[in-house]
Amino acid sequence: MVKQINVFSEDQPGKLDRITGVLADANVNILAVKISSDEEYGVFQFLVDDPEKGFRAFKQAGITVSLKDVLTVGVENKPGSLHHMLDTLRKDNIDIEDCHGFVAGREKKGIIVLEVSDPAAARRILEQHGYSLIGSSEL
Amino acid sequence: MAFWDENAETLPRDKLEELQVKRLKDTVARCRKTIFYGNRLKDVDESRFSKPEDVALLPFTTKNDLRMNYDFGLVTVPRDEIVRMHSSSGTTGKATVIFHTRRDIETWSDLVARCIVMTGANKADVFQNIISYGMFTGGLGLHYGAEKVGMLTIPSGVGNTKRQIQLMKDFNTTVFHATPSYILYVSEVMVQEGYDPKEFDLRIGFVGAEPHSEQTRQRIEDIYDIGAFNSYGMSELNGPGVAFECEEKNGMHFWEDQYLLEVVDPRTGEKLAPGEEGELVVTTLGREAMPIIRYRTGDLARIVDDGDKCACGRTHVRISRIKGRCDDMLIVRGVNLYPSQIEDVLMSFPEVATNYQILMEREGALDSLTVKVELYPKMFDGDLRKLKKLESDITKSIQEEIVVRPKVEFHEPGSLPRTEGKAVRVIDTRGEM
Repeated sequence: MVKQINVFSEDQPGKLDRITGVLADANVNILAVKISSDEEYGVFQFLVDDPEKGFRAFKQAGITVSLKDVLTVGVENKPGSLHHMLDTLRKDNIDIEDCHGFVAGREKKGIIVLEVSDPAAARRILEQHGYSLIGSSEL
Repeated sequence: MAFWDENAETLPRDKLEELQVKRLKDTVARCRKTIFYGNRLKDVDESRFSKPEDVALLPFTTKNDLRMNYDFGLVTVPRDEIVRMHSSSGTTGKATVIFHTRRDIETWSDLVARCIVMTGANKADVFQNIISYGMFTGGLGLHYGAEKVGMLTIPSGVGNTKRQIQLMKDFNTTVFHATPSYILYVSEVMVQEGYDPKEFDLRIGFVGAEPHSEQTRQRIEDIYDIGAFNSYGMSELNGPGVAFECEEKNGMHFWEDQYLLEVVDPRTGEKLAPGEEGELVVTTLGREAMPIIRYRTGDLARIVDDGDKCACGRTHVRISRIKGRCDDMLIVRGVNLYPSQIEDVLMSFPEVATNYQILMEREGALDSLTVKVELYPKMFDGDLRKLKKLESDITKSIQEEIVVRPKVEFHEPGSLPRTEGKAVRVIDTRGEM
């Protein structure tokens, strides 16, 4: 299972700077980032090449952080492919809790990062429908 | 059941009251030696006093009276009989000074020794006094009492948290004395340093110098797996050792052979019925250097009136936790509230760390109340929706408690200011417009 780093931050000038600085200093490469926030605080979600290392670096810096299991699914980089994949999961009653995506590699493949209600079932369903789940080593 | 001074601690009520009346008369006579009390007590005939309640015939003494008599105005002994000076922490306004003779120090230390033994601690314990020394009475007060009991006493003072933890570890500290906010902070540092707060030899904590809630006590007990005992005192009344919890933990025994206690309505000064909450008013009954009559402490509490003698066998009256100070009371949108009410709610949420701050501002014509809390890192799982849900749960619970709807803000652990002495929990900017 791929792990995503989630970081809590107050919404103040310089905060994002401090957080990305921690990953830079630890020489951890960011593959994708998503920021969700309201007026006062937010959560940064990082998909990185070495989640354990990034997690330790945040801890040492005294930043509130957690590691969360996510599914990373490869999709074709063309209209309708995200919709099709989510539809597959919906039909089997898998709840999507969080979702973001990015484009990677020379072949510009779409990669969708999913947090779901039942990761094991979601993995099985996706594999049955021919989706490739990308492991942490391939990222 | 251990006692330090079993005879005094279990004195039958009639004998205790007899002793109070005698000592009250002596105190009044002694006070007359000062110009201040000499004038005030002109029309008092203490020889006619027959019961402790007759103290109500005497005038109150306020903190302002102590200030006006700075420096030696209330001293009743020759200057060379004084061996110690202390000063209040100056939480509110200008500092006040208190003087002690050698016998005053002895009496005070004996009272503290009673408190220590009452919690189950004894001379075999290693005692780390994690509180300010110097002019503040918490340090030397407990120090002298602990040495009297015969404990190995480590005067570690406050601050340098990593060293505090090292001392606990190296010298197998079993008993500590600290403010609730600081000892909770120590536990956070322990975790950061890779320790489990439960792995130390600690078994008893004396917690005082800040009003705190039952929830906070339980939190301290759970985090360290110890018994935490509430302590009450103030420099004007020597310092710690005025009242303390016994192992029953149902109120703090107030040492009535040395302090005559009244509970009055803070506005009218009228005596309240037993069990009603009001301001504690205290007369010293044995102090030589600087006796004080009917001192308005500003502390709010009530007498624990459950009709029964305490199971520990002590006959001295018990008081509740200090709910706050008369001058602590906040008025927000016309509603009276105490910071301790908000603290109670916060401490019932495990997701919230131990540090918080209450901020009052004026927005146009309206008061706004913001409660800033730090998240507890272990409880963060990266889900923004859960945080929003927690925010609204805390907001609702506080509103249920105090009527006013607060704005709850989450902050990163360690980001709210903390002090190593008394924590500044309340910031009111409404008067600064």
